[in-house]
Amino acid sequence: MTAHLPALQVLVPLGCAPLCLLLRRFRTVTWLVFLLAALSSLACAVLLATRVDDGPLHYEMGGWPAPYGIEFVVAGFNTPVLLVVSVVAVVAAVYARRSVGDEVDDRRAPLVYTCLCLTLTGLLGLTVTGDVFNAFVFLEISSLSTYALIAMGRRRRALLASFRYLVIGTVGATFVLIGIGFAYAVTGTLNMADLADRLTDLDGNRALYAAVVFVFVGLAVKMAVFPLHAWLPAAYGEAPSAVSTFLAAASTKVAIYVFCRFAFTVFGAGLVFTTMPVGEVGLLLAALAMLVGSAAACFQRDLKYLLAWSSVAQIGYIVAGISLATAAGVSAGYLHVINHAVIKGALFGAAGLLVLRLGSARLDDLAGLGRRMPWTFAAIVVTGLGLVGVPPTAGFASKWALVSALLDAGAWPVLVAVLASSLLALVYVGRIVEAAWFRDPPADLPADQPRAPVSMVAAVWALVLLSVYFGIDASLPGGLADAAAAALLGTGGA
Amino acid sequence: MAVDRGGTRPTADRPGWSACVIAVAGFALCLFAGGAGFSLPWAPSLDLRLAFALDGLAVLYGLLATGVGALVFAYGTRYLTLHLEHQRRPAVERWRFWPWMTLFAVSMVGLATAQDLVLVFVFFDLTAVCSYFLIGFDRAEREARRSALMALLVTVVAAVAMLVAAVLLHAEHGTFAIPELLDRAEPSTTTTLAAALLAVAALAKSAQVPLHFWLPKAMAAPTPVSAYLHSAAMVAAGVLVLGRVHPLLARSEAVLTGLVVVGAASVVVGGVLALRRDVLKQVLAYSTISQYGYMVMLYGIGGAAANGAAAFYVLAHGIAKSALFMTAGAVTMATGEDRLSRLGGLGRRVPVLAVAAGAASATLAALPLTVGFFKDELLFAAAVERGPVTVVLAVVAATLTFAYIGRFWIGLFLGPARGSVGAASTLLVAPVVVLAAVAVLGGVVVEPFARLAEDAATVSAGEPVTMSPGYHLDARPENLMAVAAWALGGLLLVLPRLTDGLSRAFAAAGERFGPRRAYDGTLRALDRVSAAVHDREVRDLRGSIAAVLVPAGLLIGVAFVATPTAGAYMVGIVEGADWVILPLLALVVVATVVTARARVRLVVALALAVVGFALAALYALVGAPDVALVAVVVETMLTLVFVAALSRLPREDPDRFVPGDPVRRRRDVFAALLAGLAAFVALWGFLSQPAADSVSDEHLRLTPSAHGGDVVTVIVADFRGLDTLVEITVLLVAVVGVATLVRRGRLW
Repeated sequence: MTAHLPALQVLVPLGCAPLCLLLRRFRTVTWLVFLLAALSSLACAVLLATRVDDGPLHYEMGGWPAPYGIEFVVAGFNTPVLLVVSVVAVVAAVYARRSVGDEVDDRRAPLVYTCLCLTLTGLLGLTVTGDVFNAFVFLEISSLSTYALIAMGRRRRALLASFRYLVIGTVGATFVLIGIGFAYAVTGTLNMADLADRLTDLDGNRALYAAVVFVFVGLAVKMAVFPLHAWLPAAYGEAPSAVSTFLAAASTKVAIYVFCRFAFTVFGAGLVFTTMPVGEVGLLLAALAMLVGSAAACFQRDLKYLLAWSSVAQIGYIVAGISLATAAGVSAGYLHVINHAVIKGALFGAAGLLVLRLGSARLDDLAGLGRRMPWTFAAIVVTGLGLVGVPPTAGFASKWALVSALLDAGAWPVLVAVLASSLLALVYVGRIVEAAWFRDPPADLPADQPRAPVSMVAAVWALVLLSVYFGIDASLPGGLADAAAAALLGTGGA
Repeated sequence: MAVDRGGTRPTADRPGWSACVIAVAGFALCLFAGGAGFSLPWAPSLDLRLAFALDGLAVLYGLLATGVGALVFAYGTRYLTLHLEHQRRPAVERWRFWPWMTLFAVSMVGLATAQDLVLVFVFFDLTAVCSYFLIGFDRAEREARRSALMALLVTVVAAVAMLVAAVLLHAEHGTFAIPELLDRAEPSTTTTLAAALLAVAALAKSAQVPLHFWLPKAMAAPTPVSAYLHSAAMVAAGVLVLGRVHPLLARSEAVLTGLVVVGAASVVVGGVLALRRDVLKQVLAYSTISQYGYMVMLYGIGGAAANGAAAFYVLAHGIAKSALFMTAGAVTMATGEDRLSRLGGLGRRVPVLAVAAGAASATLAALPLTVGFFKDELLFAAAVERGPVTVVLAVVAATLTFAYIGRFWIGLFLGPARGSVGAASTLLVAPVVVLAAVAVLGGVVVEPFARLAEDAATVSAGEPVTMSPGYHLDARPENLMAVAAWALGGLLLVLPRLTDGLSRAFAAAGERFGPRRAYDGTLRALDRVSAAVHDREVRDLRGSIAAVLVPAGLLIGVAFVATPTAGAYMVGIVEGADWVILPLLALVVVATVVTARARVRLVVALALAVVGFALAALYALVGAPDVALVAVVVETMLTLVFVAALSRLPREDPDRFVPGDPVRRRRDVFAALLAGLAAFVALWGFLSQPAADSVSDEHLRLTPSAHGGDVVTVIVADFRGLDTLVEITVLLVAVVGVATLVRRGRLW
C-alpha cells in the first residue's frame, strides 16, 4: 500500500471528481467527497514527506520502466509543494462548505467541488510527475478546471475574467507544449531524468534553446510573472472566494515548482543560468514585478483585486530567489512559496468572509467594520503584516532569507526593489487598516447581517496561526526549503 | 471633581487601571531584576535569537517607560473619561485606547532590553504601530488621522534603514547579536554606512531635524498619549537606539560629527520655534525636538562624560516633560482653552498644579534644587571637554530652553486671570505632583539618578563611566555657563520682541522649504505613479492577450538573437519521397491562406479540414501509416462536428468579416507576418539538428509484451495510459464548463 503512495496522491482526487459529478444531487455529499480527497492527499503528502529523507522515491506507472513508461518521482524538491497544496486544499475544503453555499447557486455547487477535485489532481500530478508530457497533461487539466471555477464567480465579470484567463492560459500551455515537443525532438525522450542525461551531449543545440525559451515563457504565464500576469488580478478577484483562496495559495506555486524542476533537473542549471541569461532576465522581471505589482495594489478599490496584485509582487520575490540559482536563493524562493501560500490563502479567505457579510469586498464598503468584525480584520492585519514582511511574521522570515541571498549574490538593484516593494506593501496594507478602523461606518448598515460561519473563520485562522508559527519558528519551512534547494541543485549539477 | 453629565458617574476605567497595574509591575521588575537576561533560539535557520538582557541602559529606559507610564496611565483613566464625554463617545471606546497604550509600554521595555538588532527593529516598529492607533484615537477628525499616518510613515520608513543596517552588519559579521556586533565591528565603509543608517532610523524616531515635522502634528493625540509617547517613550526610543549601538557609531568620526550637527540644528530649530508657539502642546512638542537635540548632540560628542550626560538627560527630561504635558492637559480640561494667549493667572485658582508645574519647568530650565540642574551641568562639562563650538551651542540651547519654558509657565500661571476655570480633577493633578516631587528630590539627592545614568552610560560608552554631579559654589566653567544661560534666557523672556521676528522667520522658512513639503510631495508623486500604472493596465481582452504574446515573442526573439548562428541553419537536398511531400505542403499553404481570408464560416471549416487531411497524408508518406489512420479519423470527426455546430448557429452576417480600422489591420498583418517568420526560423533551426534516437524504438520492441497489436494502441492504452486517462478527464472538465456557462448548472 505504502509503495503506491505517489500514485494514490494523484489518483484519489482524480477518482473523486467523477464521483462528485455522479452524486451531484446531494450537495453535502459532494462537499464531503472533496474534503476526503483533500484529506487523503494531505495524508499521502505527509507520509511521503517523511520517507524522502533516504533518497527520492520512484514510482513506475503501469509497471513500465522509466524512460518508456510514465514515472512519478517524489524527492526533497517536491514534498514541500505537495504539503502546501494539500494543506491549502484541506483548509479550502473546510472553508468552501459555507462559502460556496453562499456565493454559488445550489445547482452549480457540486460542479465547484468536481472542478476543485480536478484542480487538485492537476496540481498534485504536476508536482509528482517525472515525465514532461505527463506534466503538460496535468497542466492542462488543472488549467481547464481553473477556468471553469473562475467562471462560477458571483458577478458577470467572472465570465470575462475566466475567458481572458482561458485565452491567455491556452497560449501559455501551447508554448509549453511546443517547448516539450522541441525537447523531445532533439532527445527522443520524455522522461525528465532521461532528458537531463541526453541533454548533456547537446551543447549549443539551437532547438534546445528554443525549447528552453518556449517552456519557460509558457510556464511564466502560468506563474503570472510580470509582464505575463495580465490574467491574474481579474481571475482571483472574480472567482468564488473558496476558489480564490485555493488558487491564490496553490496554483501559481505549483507552476513555480515546475519551473524549478525544468530549470534545475531537466535542462540543468549550467544551460539555463550560465549559457542562457534566464537568471538575469528572471531577476529583472522579478524586480519589475515587485514594483509594478505593489504599486498597482496600492491603487485597487476592491480587496480581492488588491490581494491579487500583491500576489504579482510576491511572485516577484520568489522568482528573484530562484533566478539567483544559488542554494540560498532557491531555498529563499521555496520558503516564500510556503509562507506566501499560507499568508495569501488566509487573506483571500478573510476577504471571502467580508464578501459573505457585505456582498462585496470593496474597500469603501469596509469603512468602520474593524470593530464589528474584529476576528476577520485581526486576521487581515496579522497576515497583512506578513505581506509587508514585518518581523516576526512568516513573511519576514522568507524576505530575510531572500535579502541575504541577494546580498550574497551582490544583486543590489533587486534588493532596492525588494525594499521599495515592501514599503508599498505597507501602504496597501495600511489602506485596508485605515478603511476598517479609521473611517466611519455607513449609517445605513443593516443590523441583522449574518454572522460569519465558524467553519470559515476557523479555516482562515488555521492559516493565520500557521503563518504566525512559521514566523516564530521558521525551522519547519526552512528545513523543507533547504532540503528542496539541495535536492534541486544536487541533481542539476550547479 | 469635574462635572458629571446627566448625574450618573461614569464607570471606573478598568482597562486603564489594568494598564497602570501592568506598568507598576514592570517598574518593579526593572527596579529589582537588573542584570537578568535570557536568550532563546527564535528562528535558528535565520540566525535569529530572542535575546533580552536588563543591563544598565535597559534599566534606565525601562524605569522611565514604566514609571512615567504608570503615572500617565493613572492620569489617563480620568482624562480619557472626560475626553470621551466631551466628544460624546461611548465609554467602551476605552478599549480602543488602553490595549495600545499597554502594548506600547511593553514594546518600550522590549526595545530597551532587546540584545538583537532584528528584535530591536521589531519593537521599534511595534511602538510606531501603537503610536499610529494612539495618535489617531480621535478618528472622527481628519487631522488626527493624517497626523497618525504621518508619524507612522516617517518613523517606519526610517526604520527600514535600521533593517538595512542589520542586514549589512550580518553580511559582514554573521550575527545580529548586538554585543557581538559591537565587539567585532572595525572601522570600515560598511560599518560607517550601517552606523549612519542606524542613526537615521533613530533620529527620525527622536523627531530630529529634518525629520521632526511629524511630532508637532502628532499633538493631535489625546494628552496622555503626548505625555507618554512624546516625552519619555516613543521619542526616547530613538535616543535609546543611539545609546544601544553607540560603540558602533563611535567607530566613525563622520557619523559622530553628523550627530552633533543634527542635534545642534534640532536644538536651535526646536528651541526658536517653541519660543512663540501659542498652543500649549505645540510649545512642548517643539521643546521636545530641541531637548532631544541635546541628547543627540551629546551622543555625537561621544566619550564617557557625554554618554553619562546623555543618559542622565534622558531621565531628567522624561520626568519634567511628561509632567508638563499633563499640566497642559489638566489646564485644558479645566478651562476648555488650549492657547497661551487665552490663558493666564491660573496660579491662584489651581495653586497645587502651579507649584508642581513650576518645579517641572524649573527642571527643564535647569534651575538649582531640581534634578534638571545636573543635566545641564553634565552637558556643559561634556561640551567644555569637546571644544568652544559645543560650548557656545550648549549655552544657546540652555538659553532657549530657559526662555520658552519660562514663557510657558509665566503665561499660564501668572498675570491677569483669563478664562473660566472649572475644578481640576485630583487625578489630573496628582501625577504631575508626583513627578515634580521626584524632580525636586533628584535635585537634593542626586545619587540614585547618577548611579542609573552611570550604569546606562557604561553600556553605551563601552567603558566604565563614573559621574559625580553635585553643587559646587565656585567659578568653574559649568557654573559660569549656567549663569550665562539664565541671564540670556531671562533677557529673551523680558524682551519678547527679540524672539518674535526670529521665530517667525524660522516658521516661514519651515513652511517654505521645510521637509513637510517633501513629505507631501512624495505622497502625491506616489499616488500619481500608482495611477499611471493602473491606467496602463490593459483592460480589453485583445490588449491583455497582446500583453502576453508581445513579451513572450520578445523573450523568444532575444533568445534567438543571443545564441550563435554558425551551422544552425542548414538547407538540405530534395530527393525521393520529398517530391510528393512538396505538393502536399503547397496544398497546406493554399488552404491556410484560404482560411485566413475566408468570409464564410463553412469555408473556414472546410479549408482547415484540408490542412488536416494533407498532414495525415504526410504521416503516411514518412512511414507512420497507423498514425496517419488515426489522424484521418480524428480529422473527419472534427470536421463533421464543426460543420454540424456551424449549421446550428444563426445565419452569418457577411459584413462581420469586413475589417474595420485600416491601421489596426496593418498592425495585425505585420504582427502575424513577424510571428510566422519567427516560427519559420525556429522550425528551420530545429530541423537543422540531427534527429535523436527516440524511446519509441523501445516502445516498438516492448509492444508484444504489452499484449497489444499495434504500437499506437499500446502507447495510448498502456505505456502512457495515465496521459490518456487524464486527457479523458479533460472532457469531464469541458462538460462541466459547458454546464456552468451555458446551461446554468444543468448537465443534461
